[in-house]
Amino acid sequence: MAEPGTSGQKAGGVVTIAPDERPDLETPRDEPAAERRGSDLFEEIEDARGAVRHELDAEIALELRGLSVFYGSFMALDSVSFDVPKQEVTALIGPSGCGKSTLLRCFNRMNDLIPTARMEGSIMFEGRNLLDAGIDSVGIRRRIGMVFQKPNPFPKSIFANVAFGPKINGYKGDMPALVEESLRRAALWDEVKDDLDKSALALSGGQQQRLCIARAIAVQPEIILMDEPASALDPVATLKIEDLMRELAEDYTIIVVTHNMQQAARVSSYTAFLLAGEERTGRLVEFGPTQEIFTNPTDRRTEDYITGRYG
Amino acid sequence: MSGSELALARDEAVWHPRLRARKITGAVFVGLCVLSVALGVAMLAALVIDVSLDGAARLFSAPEFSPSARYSGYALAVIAVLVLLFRLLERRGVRLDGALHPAGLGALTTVGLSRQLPFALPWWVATTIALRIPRALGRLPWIVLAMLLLTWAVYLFLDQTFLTSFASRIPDRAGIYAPLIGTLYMMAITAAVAFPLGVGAAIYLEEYARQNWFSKMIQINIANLAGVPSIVYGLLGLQLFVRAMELERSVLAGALTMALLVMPIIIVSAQEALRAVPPSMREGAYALGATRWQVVWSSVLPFAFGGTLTGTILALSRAIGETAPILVIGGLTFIAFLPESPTDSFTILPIQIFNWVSRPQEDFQLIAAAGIILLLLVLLLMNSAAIILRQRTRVRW
Amino acid sequence: MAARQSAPQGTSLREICVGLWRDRLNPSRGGTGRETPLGHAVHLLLFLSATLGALVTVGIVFVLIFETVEFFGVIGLGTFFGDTVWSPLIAVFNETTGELESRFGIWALIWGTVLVAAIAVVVAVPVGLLAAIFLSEYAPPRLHAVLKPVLEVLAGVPTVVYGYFALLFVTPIVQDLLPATTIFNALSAGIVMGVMIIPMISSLSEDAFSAVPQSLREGSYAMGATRMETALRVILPAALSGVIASIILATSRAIGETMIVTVAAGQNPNFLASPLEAIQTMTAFIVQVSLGDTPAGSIEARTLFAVAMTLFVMTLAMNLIATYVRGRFREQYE
Repeated sequence: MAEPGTSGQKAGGVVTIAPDERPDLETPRDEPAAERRGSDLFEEIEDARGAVRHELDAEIALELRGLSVFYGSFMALDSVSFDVPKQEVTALIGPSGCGKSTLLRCFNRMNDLIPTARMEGSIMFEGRNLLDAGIDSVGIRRRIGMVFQKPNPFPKSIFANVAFGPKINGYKGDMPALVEESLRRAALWDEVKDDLDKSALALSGGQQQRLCIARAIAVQPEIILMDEPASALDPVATLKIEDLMRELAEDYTIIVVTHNMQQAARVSSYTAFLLAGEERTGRLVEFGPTQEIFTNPTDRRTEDYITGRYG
Repeated sequence: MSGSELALARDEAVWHPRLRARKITGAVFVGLCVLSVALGVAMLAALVIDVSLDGAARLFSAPEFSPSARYSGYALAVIAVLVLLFRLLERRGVRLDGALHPAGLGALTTVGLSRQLPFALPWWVATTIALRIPRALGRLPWIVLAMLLLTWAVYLFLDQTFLTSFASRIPDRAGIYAPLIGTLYMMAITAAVAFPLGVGAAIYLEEYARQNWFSKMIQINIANLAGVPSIVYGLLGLQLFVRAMELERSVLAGALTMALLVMPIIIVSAQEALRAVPPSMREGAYALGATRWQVVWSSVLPFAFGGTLTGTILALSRAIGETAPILVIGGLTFIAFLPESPTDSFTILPIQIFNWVSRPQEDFQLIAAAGIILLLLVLLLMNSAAIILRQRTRVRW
Repeated sequence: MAARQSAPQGTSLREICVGLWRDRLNPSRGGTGRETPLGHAVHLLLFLSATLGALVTVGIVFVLIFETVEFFGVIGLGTFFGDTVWSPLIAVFNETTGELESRFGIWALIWGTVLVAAIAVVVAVPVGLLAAIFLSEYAPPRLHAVLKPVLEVLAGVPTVVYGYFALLFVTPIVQDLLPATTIFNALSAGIVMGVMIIPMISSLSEDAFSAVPQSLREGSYAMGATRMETALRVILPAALSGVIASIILATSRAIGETMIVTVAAGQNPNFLASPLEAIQTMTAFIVQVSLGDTPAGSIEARTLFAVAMTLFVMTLAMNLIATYVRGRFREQYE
């Protein structure tokens, strides 16, 4: 258990940030408090990260440090910090409205599309802070792809859907080969190889979602973000998507938001649990290997959620 | 299986994202978009400015103004601006009252400058009272008041002979009295005919009609009628009202033709207003045992009335500018009398304008501009009325 | 119930009327069975108002067909559609017959009509589409709230005012740039007509753009597309049928427009005239005849209806196509 004074660290490599151990964060507008947040807490998490890295022996794809998101004056996420391991599936779980999707949308700067959104802190990706003003969100989105909750294929042919990303990103290689490769990787090739010219809207929901995955991997991203990718699908299609996620994790870093805990347990290697308080501001409660989060959670709230006491 | 291929594809050599070039293209594209919008707005501005410059010559050409009229005009304009200013300040929480009342001060200054001091006190009293009125009436009328004051001010500067003269072959004497009255006369009858019929049809289609082939046919019909060129309505009016019903080229024939023209627009807007009334309003009344008509009359119409009226005003404002149908049924362009009964011949503003534009003399073209200003003012008035009505009657569910 | 929904087949007009009157007593929407006498009277009145709406179309078609048939009884379809010289009011020298005679070749009027409408469309489509893209994809809500009504004012300006604007403002400018232009010309009338139909294209296209689900925009941005790429490669193709419908409707409006061309484009029916010359459109011809004193029932007066019929058929066809295209668009997303 966490010792007083060295909060947020646990031998098992699970970072815990309990609210009672960080009362200073309750007053974010307060100058000294903000300063503390920038220094004391940061170091604690640095320590924690060292432990995680050593323990997990995994390369790190993204480093989140004190990431906060505001919509106007409303704080949607409060200083989230953890590391996303490379070429693994990381699940973000938590009840509705805890900021999972908001967090996911920070990674490829989709929040930029909302005029009032503002982000603080840092997300380090290949040595650069994704939130820097100088970083081009259009460039990022090729490296960090995204799959949405509801399948959203463009009303074009299947081929054109997959080729859209490579085309706009100036792919000079063999386009049909790239499309075939992407569809194969998305386990859709065998079903659609004969009607690549047909409208993507004619596919079933599950096929559409796999097409969206194919579309996302066609631009060869390093990271794929998935926002509840199976929530609009039937159980069979869901299983296919889950298989796909595990397979893709061999080459890609995958971050998946899900409200289905069985799914998180099945597909992910690491899990982050987020929770929103009374004021609807989301905070990271716990991050660690999925197995530990599910079998031996450090935080009582995580346990409550996993055993279904949060609904 | 495909690790090597993927590695190939990830090789930056085959990707040319050209971020910079795409950004620049994007910026140029936004520029084009903005330019397009600006072009539309600029055209509108060019039109208004062109017409105003040309028309002002005839509208304000009166050689002699009485000084009192001129100073009253200035004072009214200043007061109108001050009314707006005052409300703006008040909205921001600044309270100014009594002798320091900006409008009172402004009036005093204006009138003082004009060396018409005897007028100063009545002005001050009038303004102070005028400024109380909007506060008593509620939120919106202040802008109406300011507009009225401005209109009055402009009116004082107008060469009023333009408004009160009949058509003439001498440009300086040509006026717009007959077409102005003709337009008002015709539009009054049009409104009286088209409003009940249009709203009635909309109520039938929305509240009574079954979803059968007949109502579907009427619906398609009405949608297509809105796309029929207005001149074709003129031919219908010519055959039906002027010839078959032997109304001759009268106000009534013109008004009925216009009524047919605007009916589809009124029906569509009234249908939209009726559709916006939530079903719960109807169900509530039915639950109390009301008959269909009682439900429509007591629970639906009151809520849809504002929207319906707004749509009607907008439809009529389209009719006011329509020239072609009345040209075809033969609205005369040169009449030196006023229509006294619905069977008299008449002319309307746009036809008089068309007549003046078509003449080769430049003087007449300038008069046409003056007529256009008048027509646009009438349209502005009607559209503002519609907007205000829409805002005041908007119900949020 | 189901039988009632379908159209009665093989019935006489009287039976249809009886059926409709019975339907009146079987309202589709919920309500009590009883109705007061006043309620019945009101119902009848409302029913008649709605029927009047349908009768207007019947009236238009009837009036046009009646006179047009009379016209073709004298002139003949071959002459009407087989000639390119239009001079029904004044006899002109006919080179083939070597005589002075009236000529009824509608193509001269169709050429003028289509020429002006084409210029209008060339002006309005790029401007209207770019404005629609700006309003739906770029403009912040506040700017949108200001710009949209301002653009729509352009559609509310009376056409005779546009005629004035075309003749006295645009034509002098065009003449400065292209000295060969005559005072009355198709070009300036077309340009101003283009300005008039900009709001039709921009408003209706913007509605189509806004109807494209937000998820498609997000999908495109997530692929690394810029705003322009999203607008042109995803939103525009997705909303294409709505956009096409708006363009067809605007074209139909341009074809039926009267006062701009009457004031600014002249009264010279001239097949294959250049845009810099005076032409005559179908609508302008109708005005020309109406202003003159042609006795009712004469062949000159009947040309009016033959021309109007051509105009009516053209615009009706375009409106029906637009409705169909838009219906398909709705199918896709609603």
